[in-house]
Formats: sequence, C-alpha cells, structure tokens
Amino acid sequence: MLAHYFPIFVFTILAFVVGIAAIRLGGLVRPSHPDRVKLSPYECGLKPIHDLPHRNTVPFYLLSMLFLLFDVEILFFFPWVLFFERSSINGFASMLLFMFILFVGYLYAWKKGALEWRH
Amino acid sequence: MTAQQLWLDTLYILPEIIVTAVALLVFTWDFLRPKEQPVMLAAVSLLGLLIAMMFTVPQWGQEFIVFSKSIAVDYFSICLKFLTLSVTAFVIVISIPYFKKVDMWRGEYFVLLLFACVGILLVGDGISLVTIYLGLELLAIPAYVLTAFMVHDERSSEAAMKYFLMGSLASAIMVYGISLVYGITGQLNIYAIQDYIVKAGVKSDPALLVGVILLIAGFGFKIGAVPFHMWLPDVYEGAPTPITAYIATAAKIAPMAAVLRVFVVAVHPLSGHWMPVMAILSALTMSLGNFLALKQENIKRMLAYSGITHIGYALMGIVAAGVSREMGVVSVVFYFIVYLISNVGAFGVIIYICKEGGRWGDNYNDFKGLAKVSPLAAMVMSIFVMSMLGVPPTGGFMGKIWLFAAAIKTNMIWLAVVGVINAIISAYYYLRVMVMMYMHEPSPELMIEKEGAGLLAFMLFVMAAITVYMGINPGVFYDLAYKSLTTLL
Repeated sequence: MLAHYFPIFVFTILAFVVGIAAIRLGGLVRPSHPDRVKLSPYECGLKPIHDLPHRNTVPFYLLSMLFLLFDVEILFFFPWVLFFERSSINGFASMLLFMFILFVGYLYAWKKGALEWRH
Repeated sequence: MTAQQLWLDTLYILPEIIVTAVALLVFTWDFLRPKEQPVMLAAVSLLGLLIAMMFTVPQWGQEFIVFSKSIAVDYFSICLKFLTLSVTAFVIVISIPYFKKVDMWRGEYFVLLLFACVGILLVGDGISLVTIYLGLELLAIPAYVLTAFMVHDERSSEAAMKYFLMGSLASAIMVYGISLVYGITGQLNIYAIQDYIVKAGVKSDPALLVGVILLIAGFGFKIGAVPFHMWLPDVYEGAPTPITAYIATAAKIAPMAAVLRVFVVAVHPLSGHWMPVMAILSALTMSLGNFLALKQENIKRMLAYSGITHIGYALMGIVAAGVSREMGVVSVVFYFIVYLISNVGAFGVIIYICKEGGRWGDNYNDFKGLAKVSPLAAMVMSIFVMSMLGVPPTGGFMGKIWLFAAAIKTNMIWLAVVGVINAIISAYYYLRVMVMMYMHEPSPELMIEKEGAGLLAFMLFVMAAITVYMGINPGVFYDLAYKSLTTLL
C-alpha cells in the first residue's frame, strides 16, 4: 500500500531540488543590480502620502452578499427543473414554499434599503 | 417516498413549521411597520411558541420515524421540544424588561430567537447525522448574530466574531468527522451506523476512530467543554443578558441532544475508545469552570462559568452511558432538565432586580439585602442557587445523586470523586449569593423592576416551584427521562 506512494515521494523531493537549483544556479550567471524601487514589494503605483480623508461607504459587500444568497438558490432550482415532470404537484408546492421564504428575505432586503446604492 | 407520504410526514414536524411560520410573520410585520412596539412582537412570538407546544401534546406517547428515517418523533424529542419551547418563551419574557432598560431595540431580535429555536427542535428530532448537523447550524447562525446585537458595544462585536470563527471551525471539524463515519459505514441514520459497526466488525478501523475523535472535538466546541471553551467567557460577557441566558441554556440543549444521539446510539459500540477521552474532558470541564467561577465578582459571569461546570457534570453521565446506557442517559436527561430550569431562572432574577438610573444589578454587591426589599425574589433566587449547588429539597440534589451513582456503578470512581470535590468547591460562590441576600442591609438604590415584569415574576415563581417539586417527587421526571431513554435506544 505504502509502496504505491513512493513515486509521489520521489516527485516531491525532485520538485524541491529543481526549484532550489534553478534559483541558485541562475544567481551565478545573471547580473545583479538591486536598487530601492526594484526591491520594493510593488514595483509600480504610487506610495500613499497620507491617510484617506474619510471612510467611503462601500455598498459592494452588501450587494455581493445578496447576490450570493440569491445565487445559491439557483443551486436548488436546477435539479428541480430537471425532475419537474416527475415531481408532480408535490415538488411544485415545495418549491413555491421555498421561493416564498426567499421572497420574504428579498422584501426585507429591499425595505431596509440594502439594494440602494446611495444612503 | 410518495407525494402523499411526504405530506403526511410533514404533519409530524408541525411544531417546527409553526415556529418557522410565526418567525416569518414577525419578520414581515417588523419591516412593514418598523415603529411597532416590541411588546406586540413579543406577544405574537410567545403565542406562536404556545401554539407549537399545544401541537406537541398529541404526539406524546407515540413513536414515529419519518422523512426517510431522518426524523424521529418520540419521547426523547418531545421532551426536548417542551424544554426548548418553554426556555425560548422564558427568554422572550426576560427580554422585554431588558430592552426597555437598554433602549437598544430592533425587531429582528425575536425572529432570530425563533429561528434558533427551530434549529434546536430539529436537532432534537434528528436521527440522521445530516439533520443533526443542519439543526446545529440553524441554531448557530442566529446565535452569532444575537451575540452581536449590541451593535455599538465593542465587546459585543468582538464576542460575536470569536463565536463565529470558533463556531465555524467546530462545524467544519464536525462535518469532517461525520464524513469519515459515513465513509466507513455508508450510513447516516444513527441506528443503521450502530448496526453496521457491530455487524461489519469495524470497531478498530483507524478512519472510523479518527472520525469519532473529530466528532468529540466538534461537539465539545458546541457544548463548551474544556479545552474547547475559549469562546465561552467572551460570548457570555459580550452578549446581551437574555442572550447569555439563552446561549448558556437552550443553545446547550441541541449539542447535548446530539451528543446523546450520536455517542449513546451511533458510535456506542466504540465506547471503549471514546469513554476515556470523554472522562478526561468531563473532569477538566468541571474543574476549570469551577475555578474560573470562584473569582468572579459579577453574578452573570459566575452563572456562565458555573454553566461550564454543569456541562462537565452532564458529560459524566455520558461517560457512564458508555458502560450502562440506562443509568447514564437517565441521569443526564434528568440533570439537564434541572440545570436548565435553575440556570435560566437565576438569569431571570438578575433581570428582575435593578438599580436606579437604569444600571444593571448583576454584581454580588447589588444583591445585598435583597431579602429585605423583596423576600419572594430572594427566596426564588435561593431555590435556584441551592438547586445548582445540589442541596436536598431541590431537583439539583437528585440530579447530582443519580449522576454520581451512575459514575460509581460504572467503575468511574475517580471521576465521581472529582465531581464531588467540585460540588463542594462550588458551594463557595453559590452560598455567597445567599449570604449577600440575607446577611446584609440593603443599599438604598436597590429596587425591583415593576414595569412589564409581572409575567416574569409569575414564571420565576412557577420555575422555582418546579425545581422544588423535582426534589421532593423526582419520580415523575425520572419516569420521563426513563421513557425518553427507551425510545432513544
């Protein structure tokens, strides 16, 4: 059983060896002229000179959360659609109930102003 | 399963459906009429819980296994349903005077409480690992939000964040455990798992054992057993007081029921492996909770820490159930009923007394001379405290006797000794409350919450009466616990 894993073990070792060797051997041949900009974590873009003047409200997170919620609902719709003919009135009623509960949540989000971009 | 069968099955979970419907009603009502009085929403929620309780009554005495063997309606689950519904109702009652005081009101409060209640009901019903897990999550998510309910209080947000992170980690661990158990046995139904483990002889399968250990860790987080208790003190301190009461009592029903269903039934054939682990957890939980409770100056925190201790005692019964399921389960169920009533009742008394200027009287010093200001409140508090300590005329005494007896008869004598020592240590902080109430002069600013607390006073009185009755005539509740055992196995 354990013997089956031996190639993986060899492969892991090899991966490390190749990775380290590539950096080390390359360091011997390539020219090296480091400066401050080159060594900075982000080579492009401006450095911030002061803190942001005020906090911006970001409605993105609310919208994306709502999107996620109602997107997951699709997950339940797919199998339902595929088996719609076989699931009879029973399946239809269950799905209506499910949609009703989601609808209440949707109304809540709407009423509380979660869908408005500006507050 | 035919369509007709599905609709018939639905009738058996009517209490859950009713609570969900009421939650949706309160939810809609709140956002359509945002200026509604909290008392109205509370009244509707209470009415809904009462109706759900009424629909639970006709199920009594019958045993049904429905929804493709994933939900059982039996003595055990009905017993839990009554407990859950009444504790939730009580928490709603204590919330009304509390939110009048702190002036921090949002209508979502009752909705979240009701959804958490549905989660607990589902766990009580569930005999499939998936149902149990779903119920626990349905309880946990509203509980995270309720902890963060004091939006402007940093401690509340911090507590909620910790609770959320720890809780999700625990859920992940639990699901991994469930998946391993499912992977080895190929079953989700707890009875089927038990049969499979016995018949297929997989008792020492390493993957299964790892699964069981992960389950212990996951459930340990949820019930707050040491060493998985780090989130508890913060949550208890940061959450609003009624929610602390809820998390310390009702929210412990669900994981405890799950532990009973999973360890006493599903993986019981492996008891030789999980018993020592549980015994150590139990001893640690009892001792650490006790030592932390000793140095508290705040009664709310003391109750929270002593709640950890009580979970440790209850775990002792689970350990005993590894050898003798009968003794173990009966003592756990009985003890848990007593613990719930006395602990949630003590939280109720804290909300009942208050000081001028809207401050909360929840320090030991605030209880000074309560017996002179309100002899009845002091008496009720003493009954709850004595019950938690385990003094004879109360239910706590019988509960402790059966737990210790179960531990001794199953040869876990060292565990019983640890338990008794801890019971003696706990006398310090429990009796301190009584000393404060009876042996000091009252401070002039101590007063009793009158406004909107009539129902609370009545319920406190009834609960104190039940606590005493459980000590004088424990037979009724013992029968109840015994019956729930017979259907559980």
